[in-house]
Amino acid sequence: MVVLLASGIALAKTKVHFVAARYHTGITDDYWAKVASEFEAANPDIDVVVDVIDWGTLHQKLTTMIGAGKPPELANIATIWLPEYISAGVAEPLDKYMTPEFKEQFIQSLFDITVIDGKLYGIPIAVSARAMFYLQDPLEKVGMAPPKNWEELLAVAKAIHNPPELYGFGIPCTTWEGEAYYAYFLWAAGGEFFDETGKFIVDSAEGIEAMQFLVDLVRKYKVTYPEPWAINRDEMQKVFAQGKIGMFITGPWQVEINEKENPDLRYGITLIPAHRRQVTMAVTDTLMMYKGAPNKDAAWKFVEFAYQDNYRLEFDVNEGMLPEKKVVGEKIIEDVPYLKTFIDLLPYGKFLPMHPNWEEITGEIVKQMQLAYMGEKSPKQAMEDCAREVNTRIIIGF
Amino acid sequence: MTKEQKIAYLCLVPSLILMATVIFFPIGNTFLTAFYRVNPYGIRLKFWGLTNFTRLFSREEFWTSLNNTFIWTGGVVGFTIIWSLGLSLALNERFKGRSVARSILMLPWATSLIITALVWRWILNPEYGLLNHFLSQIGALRERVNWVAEWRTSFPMMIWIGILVSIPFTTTVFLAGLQSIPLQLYEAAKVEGAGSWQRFRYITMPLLKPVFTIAVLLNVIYVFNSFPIIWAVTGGDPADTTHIIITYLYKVAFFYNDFGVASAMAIIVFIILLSFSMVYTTIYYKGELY
Repeated sequence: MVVLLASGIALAKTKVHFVAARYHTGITDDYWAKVASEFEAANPDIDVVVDVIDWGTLHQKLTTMIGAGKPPELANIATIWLPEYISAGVAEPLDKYMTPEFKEQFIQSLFDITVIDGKLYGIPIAVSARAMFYLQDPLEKVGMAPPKNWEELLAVAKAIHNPPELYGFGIPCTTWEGEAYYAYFLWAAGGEFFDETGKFIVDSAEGIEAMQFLVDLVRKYKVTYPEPWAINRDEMQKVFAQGKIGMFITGPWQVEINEKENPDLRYGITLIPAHRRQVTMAVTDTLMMYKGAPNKDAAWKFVEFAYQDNYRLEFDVNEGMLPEKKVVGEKIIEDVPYLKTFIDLLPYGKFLPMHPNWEEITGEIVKQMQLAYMGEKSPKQAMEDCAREVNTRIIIGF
Repeated sequence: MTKEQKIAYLCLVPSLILMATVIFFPIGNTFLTAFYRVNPYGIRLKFWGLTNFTRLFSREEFWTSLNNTFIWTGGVVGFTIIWSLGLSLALNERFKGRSVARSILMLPWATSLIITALVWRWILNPEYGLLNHFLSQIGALRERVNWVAEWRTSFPMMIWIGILVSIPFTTTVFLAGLQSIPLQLYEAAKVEGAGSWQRFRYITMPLLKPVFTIAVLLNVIYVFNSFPIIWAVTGGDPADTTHIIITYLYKVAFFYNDFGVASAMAIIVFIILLSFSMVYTTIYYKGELY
């Protein structure tokens, strides 16, 4: 009887399925379980089912759910996946759910990349930017300041490089996020991935110059971790924490990793080396809604609940993320001073291009970068091949 | 149809339904998809003839992966069979601690493949991996070697890992085969004055043949389709040179969302394995089915 009664109540509830992404510190699961249970206590008629999934399998799991006709109400996605969902017609525009008061609380520039064809498709759920971490001891030993531009980067790397105890500069370049380093240097050189007509232009003068500089660091001056194509960003983060990489560009979560792996490490955080301009890569992850899910109104209730200041502050601080709400930003700097460098960098932030085939394009970029690093091709040849492959095979489809 | 036959067919129905849903339906679906233009979620849009196949064949990575697959399967299965045969012969002899040795042999089997592969990725790490540390301790290594940096070192390493994880199963199968050979045959041969090589050649080998055939066949199919080791150790890097078909297929399907080309690849795998199984079993069982 009790069982019957309980299942009867469960049936009457509106179910909201939320696919969340697991971030770097491994506390995401507990966080969402807490928010969901507090929401359910306030809204007994709604049952929030949270699945926290690793980034490595998230895209595939969502693809499977959408393909099976059972998309979740809400998902925490990488913003660059949004065009793919919009062009496939499975993303739900949020304009009709969002009140002006709710929208005003956010740092408005973050909405720039989730508005497509005049419709808003997502809310920033995690904001990050990249900066350069450096070890203080080797720089002090050679009496040099953290580099501000490419020339200084090369000079410092040359001065401190002392393998295998210390590699001057760390360049990770595997299938997993290898393209990020190309973005840092392409943008600093003044180049772009696409021109206004949508043509992929890494074979531009700036595009080749950026690749040439990276390859020279690896092959001509030999001042980097020697095999960029055999180490991914996560692994290099650990090697940096061991004090074996002099300089390395990554995100704010590196602070947590240093603390966990090597609390005595003396390091600093500085801007990404500039060339013709100062840049950083800004990255947002997005909370989106799927058109095909049944309980979208209940899901929006959960969104409004979960975006209260106290929850967002806890999330951002725990995960080492930058603020997406203005008020939260002011509080974060009080709590976590080191995030100031990253927040200062946000005005220089550029986003990776929004393209439905971006995953496949990055596959091609990384492959050509690896060939250039290994010396199989000249940087110029690699970037020309990359542009041709992307413009013909990938964008057109065959 | 006799009553017995009817009952027999009736008994087959549940397993046929199961096979239809988990085997025939996906295979049929994949076959269809390979000839269609599909959207990124695998929904078929329109008939596309052989376009997915021509797109696949124009990719250098496909041919590299196919070549790697043959090296991988041949290497892993070949060495596994030889090594397991020796091991099972040894474990079939009576010696002190035999049951302990047999249990130890089973241990790698109890570990998930992906865990084994990830552990090896750390062992091979050039900065703090166990292998480089060990090799430089015994003086076999003077320079730092980054094992996963190029095909020349990473692929043999992955074949080595593949052999290690394939041995428990294969040895168990051989051991079972050896134990089913009646001891009287050996005793009789001994009385007739047969040496140990002759006993192996004329008793063990022929009687082990059916088990040997199955072990080779199953290993070829498993290893050909084995995903975790290569995915975890190199993931196909650098520049897609260390993929086997199945890892490249996964990348095309779930990273590039190109289910048309991925399905075309799946069909090629299917055809290769089916023809191998048929040719191999025909040759092996020729006139020997009793």
